[in-house]
Amino acid sequence: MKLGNFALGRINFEVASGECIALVGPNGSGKTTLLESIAGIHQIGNGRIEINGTDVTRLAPENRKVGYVPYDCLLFPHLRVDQNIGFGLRNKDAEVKRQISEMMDWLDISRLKDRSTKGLSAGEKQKVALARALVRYPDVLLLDEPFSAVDANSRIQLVEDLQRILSQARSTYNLASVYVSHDLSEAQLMANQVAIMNSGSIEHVGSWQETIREPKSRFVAEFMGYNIIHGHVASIENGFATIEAGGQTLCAVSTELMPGQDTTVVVKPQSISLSSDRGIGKKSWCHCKCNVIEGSVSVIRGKGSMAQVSIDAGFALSLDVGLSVLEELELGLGSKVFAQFKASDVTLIPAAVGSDQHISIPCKEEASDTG
Amino acid sequence: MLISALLSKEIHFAVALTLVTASLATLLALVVGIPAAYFLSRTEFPGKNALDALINIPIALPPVALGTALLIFFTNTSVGSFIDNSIVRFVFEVPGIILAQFSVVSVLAVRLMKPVFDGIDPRYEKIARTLGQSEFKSFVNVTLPLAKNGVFGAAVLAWARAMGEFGATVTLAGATRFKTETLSIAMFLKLSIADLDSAMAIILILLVLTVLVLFVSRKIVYRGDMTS
Repeated sequence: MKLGNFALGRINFEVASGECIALVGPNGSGKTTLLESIAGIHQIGNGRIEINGTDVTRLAPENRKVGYVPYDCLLFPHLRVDQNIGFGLRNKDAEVKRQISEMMDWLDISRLKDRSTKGLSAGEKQKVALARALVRYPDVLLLDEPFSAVDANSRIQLVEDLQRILSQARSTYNLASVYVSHDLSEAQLMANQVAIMNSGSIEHVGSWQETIREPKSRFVAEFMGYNIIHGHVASIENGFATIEAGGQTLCAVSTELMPGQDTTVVVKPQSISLSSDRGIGKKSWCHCKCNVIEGSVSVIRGKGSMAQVSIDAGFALSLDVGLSVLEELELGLGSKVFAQFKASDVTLIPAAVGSDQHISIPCKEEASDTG
Repeated sequence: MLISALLSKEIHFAVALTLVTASLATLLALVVGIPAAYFLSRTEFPGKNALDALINIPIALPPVALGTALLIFFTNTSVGSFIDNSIVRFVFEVPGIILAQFSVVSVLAVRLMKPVFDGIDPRYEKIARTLGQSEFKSFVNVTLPLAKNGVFGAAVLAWARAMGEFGATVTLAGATRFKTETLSIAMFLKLSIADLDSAMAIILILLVLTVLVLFVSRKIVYRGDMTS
């Protein structure tokens, strides 16, 4: 599939009935294009898309039984709310009216029935677009950043509502859904599986737990917001690797690397603890093999009740800390600080495994096209 | 004198003929123009810019030249002669008026409607298709209703232009009293015999009709919800 200069690359993933997968990735990675290809809006050149075991690759969008909610809703401006919802229903008889009414009750938008779409809030528009897609009982629901136009306060309520609606739809009629987002926390709430896209290809597919615990490639680690350090394996002893990086020595659990190999060291921000001295700050870590890295604070960026702190230790380490920790450690720009993290919380990725890695699983939705 | 001219049978005939032919020409222009404008707006193909430029030729060309080309086609070519003799008689007949008006206003209609379709997000049609509508139904149920004000505005302006058409009409359909006598041709005939009262009456009628249609079209086109 090629659109202008952009082409979808290797894509291979499966969504089971009643499951939801989150499709995440940076802007321009091809999430919307992939979603629109599944919906049939774009035709893929090679590969196969299956829905409920049927090959729909060459089927027109109207024959795919797919519900699609675009990021901007695209409610038909010439129709009222109830007409928008009933647009995809073939007959316009009493049965249809009942279906529309039931759907509006379910999504709690009955009060909008006779309204024009023009005066609706962003959240109301999303619910109407969702009702319009769900009223036809599709096999697959495709949601493209449904809350991108919603303010932060309304978003919390809407995410909860959507969670409830999707959960009911999944259990009621085994709806499979694909949820596109660039907000990881939101995507994590909606889906149990995640597929990470990069430059038109899927870089990683897996459960959230697995993805968070052990990112399989440097791109995935970077996208998850983890600290990336380039290093060199100096030695391996008793299952622990000693890594030299930026003039510091790091320790990590390793069973796969060999001495002399280059490696990418991944440290999750949430695994790092700050201390004003070398002593292990957390009591539970006393019996673990820990890294204690000395550095100086290079950036402090306020984020509400938290602050993002960057430490220069020969390499950059970033983490979010509470404002109380900043006060307690008297941290300011240039302050000396010790970053501590367990050896078991460090993930090592062989340097050869870069952003070109592709992970495939037996496919249900598959689109492979190098354009 | 002006009143008696306004009440004359010849003027009534000219008004009726002009209203009927201009309406039919506009209808035909919409039937051809809507798909053409939509096609030009939505599709990309090699030579599209050239075709886009070629469409302007009838606008730039004097209507007399267009009428002459049509007259030569129907009288000097075998296909044209066959059509004129066996299917519909255009030369010096009423269908000739409709064809001449259509030739002039259809291009204008395409020119006016293409930006209307350009202004409608094609993703509406894509969404309609995911909701079970075929390509044609998506156009009919989504794009056309969204474009209705713009299309109506284009139709009104095309109709107004057809009402005043003279050059192509007189060349193809001639200027025969009580036969191919539209308002413009009636004015021409009245001026040729120095009947200034009748010519004034026709100007008055054309002025009233033109102001009326332009006012209506302005109200509709600039209502602010042309495409949304």
